[in-house]
Amino acid sequence: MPNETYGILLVSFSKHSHQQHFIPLYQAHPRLRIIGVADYPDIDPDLRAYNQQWAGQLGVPYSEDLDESIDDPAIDIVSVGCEIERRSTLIVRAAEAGKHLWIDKFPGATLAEAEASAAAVERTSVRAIIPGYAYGTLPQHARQVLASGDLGTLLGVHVDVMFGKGWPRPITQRRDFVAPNGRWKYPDIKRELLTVGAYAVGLIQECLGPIRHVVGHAGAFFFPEHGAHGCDDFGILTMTDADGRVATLCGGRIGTASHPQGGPSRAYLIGTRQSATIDGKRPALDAYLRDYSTGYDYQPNPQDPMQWHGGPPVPTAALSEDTAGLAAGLDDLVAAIDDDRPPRYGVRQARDLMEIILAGYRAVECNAAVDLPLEQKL
Amino acid sequence: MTITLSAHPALNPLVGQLADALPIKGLYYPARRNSDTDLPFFSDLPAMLQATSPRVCAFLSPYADLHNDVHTCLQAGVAVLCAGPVPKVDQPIASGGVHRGSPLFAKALQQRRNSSFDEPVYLRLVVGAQEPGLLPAWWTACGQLSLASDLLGETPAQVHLCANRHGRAYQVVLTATAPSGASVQLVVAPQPALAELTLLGRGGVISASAAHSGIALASAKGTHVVPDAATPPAELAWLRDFLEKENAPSEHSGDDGQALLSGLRRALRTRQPVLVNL
Repeated sequence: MPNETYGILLVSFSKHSHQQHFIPLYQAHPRLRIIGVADYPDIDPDLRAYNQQWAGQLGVPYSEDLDESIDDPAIDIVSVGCEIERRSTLIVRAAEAGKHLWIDKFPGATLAEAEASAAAVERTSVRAIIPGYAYGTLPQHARQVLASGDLGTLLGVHVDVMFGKGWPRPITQRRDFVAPNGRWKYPDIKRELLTVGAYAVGLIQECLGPIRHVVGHAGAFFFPEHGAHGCDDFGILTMTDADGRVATLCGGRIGTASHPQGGPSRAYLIGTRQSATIDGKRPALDAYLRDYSTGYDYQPNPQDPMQWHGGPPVPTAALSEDTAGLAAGLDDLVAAIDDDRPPRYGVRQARDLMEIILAGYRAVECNAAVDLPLEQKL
Repeated sequence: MTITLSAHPALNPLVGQLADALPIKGLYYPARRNSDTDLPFFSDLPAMLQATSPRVCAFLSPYADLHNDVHTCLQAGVAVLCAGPVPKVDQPIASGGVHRGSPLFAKALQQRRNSSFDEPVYLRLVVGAQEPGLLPAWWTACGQLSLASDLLGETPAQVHLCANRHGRAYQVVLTATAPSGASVQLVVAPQPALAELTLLGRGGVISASAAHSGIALASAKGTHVVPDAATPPAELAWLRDFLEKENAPSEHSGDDGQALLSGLRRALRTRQPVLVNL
């Protein structure tokens, strides 16, 4: 029924999710309607207040009875914005209730959880999308280049995705690397190879076949907070696929005002005949305004020192209003539900992405190449 | 002073630039015709040495029997300069370090030493080999590793090497961590015009891109970027420096080059990352 309106339940506005950024997209989409906000009952008071604040702004009810909210017949889509550790349980529950899913990045904190999410979606035939990796300008341009055939045979792809946020300072303490083991964030930091590097892995998945071997490094730091925890604020991976093609990536948080567009987002596609250099934030307009160049206070808000929810103004603005591809992803989800087909990037791919990144972390830990597939218990 | 060069025909434009600035009297390359050069061309090294009586022979391209030709030059009293390592030569020769003659490298190093840059965290280089084939890709990888070491001021003790090929188009990838913890990723691609540099420091980013530094030619089909010819090639300052310093052997180790070549062959065979100790 192509004109049907789909009701959305927003589950959690947790600090590390992009739920608040999805709202304008949902509101602008003619086929979607926000029905309610919900969360688990055992959340911290700040998050509860934030959830309630958003429910109030949107004029919808807030509930901490997730089962009841998910089972509401008015709900067609669950927008998953809870902490990574709770996503798999929520995804499985929603899928089993026949609800479609919009998932903010990772479908679980471990490979086993991600596998459980993928299996539930496949078992129930609901439509589930992870919108962050396949719809933005960078993957769109990469697909355009690959489809043209101009490169000849693709030999490899090399991707740099970095967030120009936070305020780097001298590294006062450098703890040995600590493997994540399912813990992806601390009160003051989160793992940035996972958080940012995932975008690069998504593009590599688009270009290459199944990844078979991964090497990783994450020994240098921009931020003393990460150095003190022994957690990556930046990392690199090198990998080969089943055909021997090679990919590299770097991903991380590199500090504010280090790039005219808030951090590089680019890819090098290496072919036998030609190679392509793709900037995911172009085409763009440069505007060097004196007041911004000489007078802007770049110091991050003390309440958000890593700038998870903000950043400095950029002198070069991408022309696209949807460089991240979220609007395109939302269109794909609606079309996937209408047409009863999978979206371009779903939970199975996200599970495989998680496996690649986990292999990368293990490679960092043991300073050796790690073979895939990994055992599911990770 | 008379200089001769040995270079693959793909390097004819570079050879022409060098010949415009230096007393180069002959060009040699084994088993090849080269009709597209203004220099006297020889496919026989002894014949070139006899005809030109050079004081210096600079080898700009690698090939299978390079070490024999280097030996021939040394036996004839001709000073030798090589753009990359020559592992089988039994006496020290000047090799590598071409990047030190590059204006881009000089500027990057200057910025790297700026106190505002702080400590390096990550270096990415994506460059094209000057010619097709395994040995040019290897020389380019060696050159990029040397550049990385100079720019970072430290050398990784080991690298992970990945490689693949299709015909004579090779891709080589080196991944490493420097002693300070800075990460390094070097990519060698088949296209010689490719030249990208990104150096991240705690204090900011140093970057350069051939895609953004060339001359943009607009046509009905789009915009095409061609390299500029005004910036002097790194090889020119590199050759001049060698002549001024009276042919001192470089500190570049042929052993590292041999280790990388062996690792490269292993990576091609196994299609997975190979650890190479330097």
